[in-house]
Amino acid sequence: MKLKQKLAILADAAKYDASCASSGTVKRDSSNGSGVGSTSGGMGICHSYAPDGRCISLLKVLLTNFCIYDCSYCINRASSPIERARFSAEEVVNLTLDFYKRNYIEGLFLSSGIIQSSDYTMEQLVRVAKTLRVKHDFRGYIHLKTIPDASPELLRAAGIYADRLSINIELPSKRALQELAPEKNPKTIHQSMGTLQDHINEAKEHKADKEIGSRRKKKAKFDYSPAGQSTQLIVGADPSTDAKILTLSHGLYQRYKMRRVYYSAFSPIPHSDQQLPSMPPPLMREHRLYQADWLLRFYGFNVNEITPIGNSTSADANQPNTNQPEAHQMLDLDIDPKLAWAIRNRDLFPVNINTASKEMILRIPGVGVRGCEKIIQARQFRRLRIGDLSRCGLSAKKVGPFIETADYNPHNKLLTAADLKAHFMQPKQAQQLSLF
Amino acid sequence: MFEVDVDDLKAWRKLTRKLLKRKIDPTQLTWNSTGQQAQQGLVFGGDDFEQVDVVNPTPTITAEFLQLLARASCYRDEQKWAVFYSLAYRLVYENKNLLQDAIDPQVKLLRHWHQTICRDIHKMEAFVRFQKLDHDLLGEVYFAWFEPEHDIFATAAPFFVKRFKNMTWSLLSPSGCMHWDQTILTFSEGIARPQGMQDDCESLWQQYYRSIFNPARLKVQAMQSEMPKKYWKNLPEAALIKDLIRNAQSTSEGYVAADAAQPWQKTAKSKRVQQQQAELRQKRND
Repeated sequence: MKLKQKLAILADAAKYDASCASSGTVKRDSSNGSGVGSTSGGMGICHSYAPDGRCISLLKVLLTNFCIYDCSYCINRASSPIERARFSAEEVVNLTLDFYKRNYIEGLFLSSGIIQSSDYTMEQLVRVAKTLRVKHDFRGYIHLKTIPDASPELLRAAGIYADRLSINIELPSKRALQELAPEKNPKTIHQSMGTLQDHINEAKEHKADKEIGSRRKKKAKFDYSPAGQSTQLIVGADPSTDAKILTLSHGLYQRYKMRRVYYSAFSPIPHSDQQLPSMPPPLMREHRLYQADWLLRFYGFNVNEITPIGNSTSADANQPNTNQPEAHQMLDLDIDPKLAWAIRNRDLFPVNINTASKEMILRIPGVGVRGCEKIIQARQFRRLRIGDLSRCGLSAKKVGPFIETADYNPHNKLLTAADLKAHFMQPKQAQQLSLF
Repeated sequence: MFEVDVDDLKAWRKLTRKLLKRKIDPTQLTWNSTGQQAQQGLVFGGDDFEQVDVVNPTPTITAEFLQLLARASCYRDEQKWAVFYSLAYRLVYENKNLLQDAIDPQVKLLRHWHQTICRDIHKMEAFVRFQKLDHDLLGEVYFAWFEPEHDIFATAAPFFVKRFKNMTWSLLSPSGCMHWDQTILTFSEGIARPQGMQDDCESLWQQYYRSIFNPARLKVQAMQSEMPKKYWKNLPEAALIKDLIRNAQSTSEGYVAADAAQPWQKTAKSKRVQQQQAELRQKRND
């Protein structure tokens, strides 16, 4: 089979992995090396965008799409009648270098179907990464998908060559995993996430010791997956609610210090399994989950505020009340989760942006992290007026109903109106959103 | 009135130091940017500001301001040197925390310029596309044509040098070129776009672009806001966009239709695979 044809098959097979990030790793470059490559340390680079709006940062391919697993949601499952292909390690190495030297990519995201055994597959993945790093002194970004059942030695080796490792949690509940991915084992998924995190922490401590130990900041001997680990779960292939999904994500961020949890709306794939829902979930649901995920991580919200529990008496704010009707455990598709929260908690508004705490300003619908910073900075110099909003990059229409300024009070009737939500929805806009 | 003339940041700094020492009010200055007097940093026409007494021998401006200037000064705008001076004057003589005032019009303009340049450099790092050429004498050489809107080549250079240190490459544009021979970076005059450059690797890259696109999730607006059309002419993959969009709906509907026409059937599986699956399922239940 020609290389181009293999690339067509094995890139197509990889596109259901949402992640393409090249961010968050250590800073390095080729100035004292023999090969090519550099990483910025912070932000990654998107070298292109596909018409699906997704960033193309890495060469994202499978080593092979042969697979002995039969996960019903996956296009590569054993029983799927698709065309199969397999790259040699050398082919992937050369493709990565050829693309990199032309500045098409930041690096490689390599995953694979499981062939022969987990260890055999993992070994193949590690070999590609090792060849790039050792033989070619490649200093670009490498993301390796990790096979959860692989041996601890292989998990350790993977992190030495990779910037980021990921194990997909795949589905929001063990039950769904049992039904849709009968060969996957939820226990080993969690165990391996724990193992990766132990290695990551160990390498970080080692590095910190080195830096304290010597006056000059000597570079540590090794890094282990310096961009941490991430995971992905499929939304809409099973009946799990958004509350359930967000609770799971919250746990993953807490327990394994995940850098990211990716949500992938179950996408229609050719020859799909009849166990699966016939319709894809609205992509808006995926979008709302990402927004909610952001609220959890950067805006100080907890799961129960985002997916309301009504008159619950639950002790732990991050444990949703399971007795509530399912509908309340789903995010509103019409409006974003912060606006939905504000409408439910309208007694907390209007917020005076000249006096309110940073925490409260972050909770105003339409105010992002940067907008909040700008408000806090600008109000040191003057009492903010409604006209200053646009200079802080904020839309008066969006934030207006929820704030007070030196010269402005919101229309009180609006804030107490039963149809406050309608104020933010235009029939035409709602139409467009569903097309997303 | 004094007339002054600078055309780069270095000359501006030199001149600004002299002006600030004499507390020359920004409104008394007319700024030209022909660069003809840049060497001297002196006046021509009008009065000679160096006749004015020095009132403040050591005016200082903050590192933050200089950092913003390093990038903002790449912005192509006739007004920039005057605005920079006015800000420097206000920082020294009116409010040393001025830069924190996010809604001051001049601070806003400075930050806007800075941000635009940061974004343009970021996009240049992303959208430069090298083409490989096997040269008789030089061996492998890489060329890229890139037309920046602002004067960012010199500022963007370290990124390309550090990343492609062991490659010989040239970045070409109508307003100037730069060349790296694996040791030294050199700059040369701008050129017209070379014709007929080709690289076989581009067809692999196009194949990748075609295959990684998910036609079930068309979001043209999102693509375009991050990858504005002005960059498309240098991107080999951009030639595919129109067709990918046009065929997207039929491709993804094709998936569903194929399923409806031919309900999912388990394909025959090998005995070995079935056995391996059975073992895995068993292990999971243990």
